[in-house]
This record gives sequence, C-alpha cells and structure tokens, in this order.
Amino acid sequence: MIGENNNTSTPQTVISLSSIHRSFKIGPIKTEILRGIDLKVYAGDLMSIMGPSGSGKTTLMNIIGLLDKPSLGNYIIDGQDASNLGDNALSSLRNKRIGFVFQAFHLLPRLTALENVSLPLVYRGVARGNAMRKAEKMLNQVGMGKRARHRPNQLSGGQKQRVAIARALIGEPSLLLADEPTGALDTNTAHEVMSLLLELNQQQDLTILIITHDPAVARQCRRCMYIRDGILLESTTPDVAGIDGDESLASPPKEATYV
Amino acid sequence: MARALSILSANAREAIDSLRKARLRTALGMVGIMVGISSVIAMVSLGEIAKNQVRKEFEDLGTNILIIRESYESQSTEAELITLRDAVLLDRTVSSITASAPRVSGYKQFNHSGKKVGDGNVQGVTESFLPVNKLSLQSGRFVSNFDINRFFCVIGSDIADKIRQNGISNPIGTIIQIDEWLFTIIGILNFKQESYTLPVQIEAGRSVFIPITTAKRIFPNSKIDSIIARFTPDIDYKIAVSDVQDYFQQRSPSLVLEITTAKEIIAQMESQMGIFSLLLGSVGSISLIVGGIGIMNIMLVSVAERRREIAIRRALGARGRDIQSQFMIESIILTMAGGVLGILLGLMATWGICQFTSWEFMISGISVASGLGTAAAAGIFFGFQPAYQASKLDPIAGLQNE
Repeated sequence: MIGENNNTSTPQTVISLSSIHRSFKIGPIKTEILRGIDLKVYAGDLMSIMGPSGSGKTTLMNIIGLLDKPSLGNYIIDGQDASNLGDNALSSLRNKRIGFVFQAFHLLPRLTALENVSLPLVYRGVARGNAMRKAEKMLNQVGMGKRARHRPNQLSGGQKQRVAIARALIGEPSLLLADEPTGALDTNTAHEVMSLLLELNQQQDLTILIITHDPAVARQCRRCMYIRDGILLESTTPDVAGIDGDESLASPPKEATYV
Repeated sequence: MARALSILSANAREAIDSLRKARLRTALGMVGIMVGISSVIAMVSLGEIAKNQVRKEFEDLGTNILIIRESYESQSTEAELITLRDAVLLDRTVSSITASAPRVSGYKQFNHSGKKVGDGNVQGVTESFLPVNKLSLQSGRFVSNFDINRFFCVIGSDIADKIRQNGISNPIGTIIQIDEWLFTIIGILNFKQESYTLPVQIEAGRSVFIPITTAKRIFPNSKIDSIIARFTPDIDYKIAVSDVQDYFQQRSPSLVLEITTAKEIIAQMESQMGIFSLLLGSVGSISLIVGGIGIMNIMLVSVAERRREIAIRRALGARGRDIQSQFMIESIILTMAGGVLGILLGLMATWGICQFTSWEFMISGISVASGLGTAAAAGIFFGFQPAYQASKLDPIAGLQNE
C-alpha cells in the first residue's frame, strides 16, 4: 500500500523535510528535540505520525505547520523553501498551504460556526460577503449547513470538529494537518470524524497528515510513521503504539525503514 | 490594500463584539476617559464661550469706555474730592474724552399712589448718562441739563411694569414718592440686559434716575461714586487714562483714581478663565492618565485572557500586525466611546458653569473635535503596548491544551 505513491508515475511532492533539527536552550542546557528528520509527503497522501510524549511529535507538527522554524535543515512546501522565512511570510504561507485540525477544536467561542469557518479567508483579504458564502458551502460539505449560525458552545464535540475541518478546508490548503483530531471524542463520534477525513482524502485527493497516539486511527492511514527521541521511522504496520494506546509502552517498529 | 481594509473591518466588528461581551469591564474602563474628556471639553468650550462673550459684550458696549472711581487709597474719605463741577466739566475740558456721565446714588424704596412699586437705586445723573451707557427710552424723555434741581425722574422698565399692574396705563406725568420727596415721572427706559462685565452695575430696570443736582440736595453727604466716560475711539486707551489722571490731579492733588478700561475687564475675564482652565486642565489630564492606565490594564487583561484566541488566529494565518490592529482598534473604540460620553458630560458641565457665570452657552466645534481627538490619541497611546504584546505572543504556547 505505502509503496504505491513511490512507484506510480512521479507523484507531486507537497512537503519535503531534509535533515531537520530542532533544539531548545533551557538555561545553559541545549536539548535536541528533533535529530535529523527526513520526510516527504506526496499529494493525496494519508499519513499518520505516532509517538510517545516527549518524542518530538508536537515540535515536528509545529514545524510542518509553519508555526516553528527548524534550527537546521530544509523544509520545502509546494516547492517553496520555508526554512528561513520571516514571520509575515510564514503567516501568509500558513494561511494558504496549511489547514489545521486540533484535538481541542480551537474554535473561537464568540464567533458563529460560519464566522469561524470564514476566518482563514478574512486573513487572506477576501471580502466578508464572499468569505461567508464560501464558508456556507464548506459547512454544507461537512454536513453542518444547518448549524451555521450556532456558536461553538451550542455544538457537540463531533459537530465542533466538523466545523473545524470546514475551517481547515476553506482556504484550499495543500496539507491538512490534524493533531489528535479524535482525541477529545467518544468512539462513535471519533469514527464519524475519521470517516469524514478518509472520504475527503479519497474523493477530493486531499493530502492529510494526522498526528496521533491512537493505533486505531493510525491503522486507517495508508502511510504510518513512528517518531521516538527525535528520529522518524516509517512502518508498514501501524500497530506499534503499544497496547491500548498507552504510549509509554510504545516501542519502535522492528522492521523500520528510514524515509 | 484590499486585504488591509477587509481585515480592518473584520477587526472592528470583532472589537465591538468583544467589548459588548465584557460590558462591566468596558463601562468601568470608560469612566476615567469619560471624566478626562469631559474636562477637556469643558475647558475648550469655556475658553471659546468666554472669548465670544467678551466680543459680544464690547460689540454692544464699545471698547472706548472708562470707569472712573475714587480709589480706596485716597487720603481723605470725608472731603469730596471729585466735585460735581469737575465731573461735569471733564468732557468739555479734556479733548480725548467725548462724553462723561457722573453718578450719585442711594438705595431707596419707591412708592406710587400709596403702594410700594419696588426698591432700588436712586441714581442722580446728567443728560449724557443715557448715550454713554447705551440706554434707550420706551417713552417720554430723559433728564436734561435744564432740569437742574427739579424733581423729575425717569423710571426703569420693571418699576413701570409694576405701576401699570396697579392700574395706571401711562405712568408718565404721575408722581412717585421717594422718602418724603415727590417726583414727576417724565420718561420710561427700555429693558436692557445688565452687563456683569462692568465693575459698575447700572441696574437700569430697577432704578429711578433723577437730575444729579437734585440728588446732591436730597442725599446730603453724597459723593460721586463713578464717572463713566467715553474717549475718542481712534486713540489709545492709555492716553485717555493719563489725560483723565492729569485733569483731576490739577484740581484735587490728594485724589487717587481707579480707572477701569475695557482692556482691564478683558484681562480680568481672561484671568477668571485661566483659573477655570487650570482647574479643568489638571482634572482632565490627571483623569486622562489614570483612565488611560485603566484602559491599558483592561487591554493587558484582555490580551492575557485571549492568548488562545490569538494563537488560533495566528495558526489560521493572521500576521502579527493583524493581531496588533485588532487590539489597537479595540482600545481606540473603548476610548472613543468614553470620549463620546465625555463630550456629553463636558457639555453639560459647561452649561452648568455658564448658568453660574451668566455667560451664553454654546457648543463649540473645536471642543468636540479636540475631545474626540484626545480620546483617539489616548486609545492609541495606551493601547499600543498591550496590542504589541498580543502580536508577539508565541502561537505554539497558546495552542497547547490547558
């Protein structure tokens, strides 16, 4: 399955990370969180990254999501080198290329679902009327059209995550970056949200990268990566995060291949 | 440009929404600014009103006026230092003085047909009193220089009204009784708004005017209390003042005069204004600073409370300056709302002070503009630091689950 992309006629590379390092200085001590990450994500990919706490998972996600910059190494997104961009350029690139979905939904509580969804377009300078029309369309697409005027506190967890997905999609990003998208949901709702993501990947060829510690989620992805101690491993079997999703018991895959 | 505008309008909408959600905090935050702006408004308005008042007053009265009185510093209080003769001859002797109106006065009760019709000043005057004080007649004539020692009088409009109320439709020719003397009414004055800018009160409406010679006879120890004089408009007031000084110096060496000019009256009003301005200016600036610090504090709290919101916006592609503009707008709207309320309060305070000083109230455009300007400036000044802080927040920290 995972070999498919590599073998078919040169798929388009969405993001490409080469020997990414990220270290933080806490007082005099320098801690290296990422120690040479190489990763390519192709258009239409559905990929998961798993790893225990402190593995560098979140730091990697922040770098891929253009919220953080690598200390060393190159990050190319849609052919553009993002390793050394300034804050404004990063913001603008993030706005165009990345759609975020968070575990805690991160909807703005004062805004309606519709206004929440329209936000990325507002920051792109799209006029309010146009942004609202597009947001309405996106909400319909995720099955939330009837709740457009609701505020987040009037929505259930699953509904909130659907609104968040609509918000991530409205800017037509190159990559949907989902951080534990089902982490705050019950099993049934989690299943629905995953189905929605899979559907978007299959029907619209949306490139999706999911950060998770839930093996059930990882199992549904075509490519599964494993991160531990700042090093990324690719696995053919997603069942690596230990028993019952307990990450402390997680161990790296036996047949690991570096990407 | 289009991006900036659409973000600006979105930010303004958000700011209003956020301020409405935190109503109490917004209201408290506005109080300081409101008081500050109202003081600014009152200060600027009163300045404008006073200027206008002085202009109107002297447009009416003319600036070529001198009020000549015996100073308290005169050596003798017993002897009559300004004689009637000297006072009357002033305008005929001194070339720079065109008219002079000496006055002798005493407070009396007035009776007509056995009923009291008022009490006020009996003013002994000459013919020139009417034009010098820009008074006019309703009917009859004023006292003339040919009425020497006669018991004729001209009454003010209030007294005339009172007499008419008693059933006498034309008071002219009837008799008014002052103490044991009987005066024939020969004229009635028109109503005239009393000017409070002059140091000498005329109170034309409530007074009875009689020939100065008669007054000297019926008030045995009366002295001339003031001479209101006019000088040729084309000369400097200082020349007229020194001419008058010289004239009386020659005739009565121990006399010390106190001569009030329009210039001095204006200066006096200005110093009165200065006190108001100082008071309002200090109240205004203190409350603006205190209010501004309050605004800054509210904005800092607001930024701290909304770290997550800021981080989410940043993740969705907001630039640092988009976040900064959002909080700046919020702060400016907050101070502008306080400013508008402050303008209303300030105009009310101005109106109150006008009632107290009997100045004519008006709304000056400059004061409203300066109030709004100050409010906006306070919003920018005190909102900058919190907004800058918001723009520099680390989105990664803000996105972490609490």
